[in-house]
Amino acid sequence: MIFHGRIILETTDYEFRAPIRGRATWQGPAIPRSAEIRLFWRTQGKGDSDSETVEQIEFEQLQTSDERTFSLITPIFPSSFSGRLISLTWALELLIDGKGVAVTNLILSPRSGEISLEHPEWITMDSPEKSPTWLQRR
Amino acid sequence: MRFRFNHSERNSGNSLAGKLGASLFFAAFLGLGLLFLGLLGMTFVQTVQPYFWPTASAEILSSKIKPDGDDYRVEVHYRYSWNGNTFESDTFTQPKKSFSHYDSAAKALGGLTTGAKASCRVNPKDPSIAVLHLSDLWIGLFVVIPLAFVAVGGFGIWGSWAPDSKAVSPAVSRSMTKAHWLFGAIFTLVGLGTFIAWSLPMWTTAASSSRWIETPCVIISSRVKSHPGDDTPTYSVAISYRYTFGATEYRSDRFNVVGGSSSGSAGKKEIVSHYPQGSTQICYVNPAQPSEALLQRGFSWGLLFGLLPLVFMGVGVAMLFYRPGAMTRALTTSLPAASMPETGELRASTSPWIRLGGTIGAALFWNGIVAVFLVELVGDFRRGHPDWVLALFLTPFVLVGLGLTFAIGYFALALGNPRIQIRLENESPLEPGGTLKLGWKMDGATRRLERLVIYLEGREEATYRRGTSSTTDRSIFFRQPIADITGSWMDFQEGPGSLTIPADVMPTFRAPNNRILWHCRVWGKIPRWPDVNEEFEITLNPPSNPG
Repeated sequence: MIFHGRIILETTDYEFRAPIRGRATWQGPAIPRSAEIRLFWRTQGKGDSDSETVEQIEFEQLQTSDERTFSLITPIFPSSFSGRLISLTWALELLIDGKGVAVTNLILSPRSGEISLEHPEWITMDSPEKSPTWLQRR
Repeated sequence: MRFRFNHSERNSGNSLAGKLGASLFFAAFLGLGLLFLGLLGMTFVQTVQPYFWPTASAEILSSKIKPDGDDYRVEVHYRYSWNGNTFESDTFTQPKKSFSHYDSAAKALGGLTTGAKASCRVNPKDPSIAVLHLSDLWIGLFVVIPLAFVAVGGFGIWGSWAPDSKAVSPAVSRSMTKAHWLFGAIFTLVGLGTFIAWSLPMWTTAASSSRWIETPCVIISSRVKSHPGDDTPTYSVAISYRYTFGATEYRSDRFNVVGGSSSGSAGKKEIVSHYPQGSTQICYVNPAQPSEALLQRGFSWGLLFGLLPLVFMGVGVAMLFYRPGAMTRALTTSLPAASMPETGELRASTSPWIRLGGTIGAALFWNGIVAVFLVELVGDFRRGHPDWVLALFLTPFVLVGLGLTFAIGYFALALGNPRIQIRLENESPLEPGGTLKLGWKMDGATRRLERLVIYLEGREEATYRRGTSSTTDRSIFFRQPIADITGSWMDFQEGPGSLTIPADVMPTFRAPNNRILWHCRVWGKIPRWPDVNEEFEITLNPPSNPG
C-alpha cells in the first residue's frame, strides 16, 4: 500500500525549548495500521551517519485520508550545526505503517539559525607543535 | 583573567657543530641516494635502450640454458644482417640477466633452437651490438627509492643551513611536507607496482593453475637445497623434472607458484621424499604456455606474501593523506578520554607511558616481520649472491622500522619531560559564552623549558569505514591561546589562565561516528629534546538558558 503524506509547519527554524506545532496529513488506499510523527537528528558529512529519535507521537483512530495536528517541545541539545566534516540536521518524519512518507528538515539551535563552525576568527594562532622542535629551522 | 607574555626567541641549538652534524647526517642520505640512483639509473637506461633499436632478422646458431649458481642463464649464439653486413652476437639481454627458474629462462628463450629464425634488436650506432630479448621495465619503478634519499638529504642539508627565521619555520614545515608527500607517493607507487608486477601474476597463476593440464613427468633431480643464512640456513625444495606436451619436451624446476626458501627442513624433506629421482609423477602444464609447469598447484600459505605490497601501499597512502602533525595527533589521541569533571583536575588524554608502550608494540610487530626478510637478504649477501631487487624492495620497510625504533627513543626521552597538572577553576559548568578558568602547575625539569603554550582547541572528528578499516578525519575549528610563556624557569612552574569562549560555538557533542571535542592543549618547547605535548579534554556543556 502506498500512502502519500505531508508535514505542514509554520516555520522550520526553532530555538531550543520552543514548541513545534504543525499538521500531518496523509491519504492512501486503506486505513493504515499505524501513523506517527517523530522528531530526530542525523549527521551528514565525511563520517558515517549517526542519528537519534528524541520524540515520537503516535496518532490513534486513523482514517484512510486524515489530518492531525501535533505539538512537540524541542530539546536543548544537540544544536543544528555545520562544519567542514560534520553537519547535524533535525527533521520531522511522518511514518505510516512504519514507513516514512514525508520528511521536513528543521533548524534547532540556542538562537535562530544553525551554528556554523566556519569562523576563521576563531583560530587566532598557529598550532605550535606543527613540527618537532628538533626539526625546526633555527 | 587572561594574560600573555611576550615571546622571545632564543637561538639555542644553532651552533656550527650542530649544523655540521646535521649536514653530515643528511649528506650520507644524499650520497647513498646518488650512488644508488646512478647504479639503478644506468641499469634502467641499458634496459630501455634496446626498445628503441630497429629490428633485424636473426638465425640461431646455438642455444642452451645453463645453471648459474642457484639461477639459470641463457647461452645463445646468433647471426644477423644489418645494412648488407653480417654480424654474430651472443648477447641475449641487455644488461645480462639470470633467471631464478629454468622455465623462466626457457620462456624468455621462447623455444629458439639451433637453426630457428628470430628477430633481434640492433644498435644502429654500433651494429655489432644486438640483443635477442627485451628485459622487463619494472626495474624503473625502483629508481624512485634512491630519489627519496636524494630528496631527504637535499632538504635536510638545505634546512640545516637556511637563514634564521621564526621558531616554527614555514619553509622547513613545507620541506617536511614535501618530503613526506614524496615518501608517500614513492611507497604507494612501489607498493602498487610490486603488487601488479609480482602479487597479481602470482595469484592469477595460482588461480588459473586449477585449469592446467595434468601431465606425466619424470623427476630429474630431487633434493632439499640449503641456503646459508645469517644465523641459521634456510631451505627450499629443489626438484627438476621433464615432461612432454604436444610432442615437445620441456623442463621445469617449479614446485609451486610461490617458491622461495624458509627455515625448517623437515617439511621440505617430506615433500622431496614423495618425488624420488627417476620416478614418474604428475605435473600441471599451462596449455597456453607449455614451458610453465608446477608439481603442486592451488593455494599455499606462501601466497599471503603477496599481501605485503598492499601493506607497503597502505603506508604510502596513509602518508599521503596524513600530515606529520596529524600523525602525531593520532598517536596522542588514540585513547578515549575519561569523562571530565567541570571543576577539578583534568586528566591527560594519553599518558606518555601508553604512547611509549604503543610505539614499542608497533615497532616489535613491524620490525619482526621485516626482520624475517632482512635475515634472508643478509644471507644472500653473505653467500655472495646479493639480491639487489629484494634489497631495494626492503629499503622503505627498513626505513619505517628505523623510524619506529627512533620513535621509541623519542617517547622514552619524553618520559623525562616536565609534567603538567591542569585544574579547572570554573564555579559553574562551562558553557558557550562563559569563561574558561584554569590553573596549572608543572613539576620536573621545568628549567629545560624554553616556551610553554597552553591553548584551547575545538575540533570535529568524523569516523568512517571503508571495508574493514576505520578512519577518523579531524578538522580544527577553534584554537585560541590561554597562556603563552617565555622567560625564567620559575614562570613555567605554575600560573593561572583564562579564556572567554564565544557564545555561538558548538558544545561538546559525542555520537558513535561524529564528535565535537574541546581540548586544553599544552605544548612546551625544550631545545634538542622531545617537546611537551599533552592534551586534556574539556566538556563544553550546552547552554543552560538557551535563547
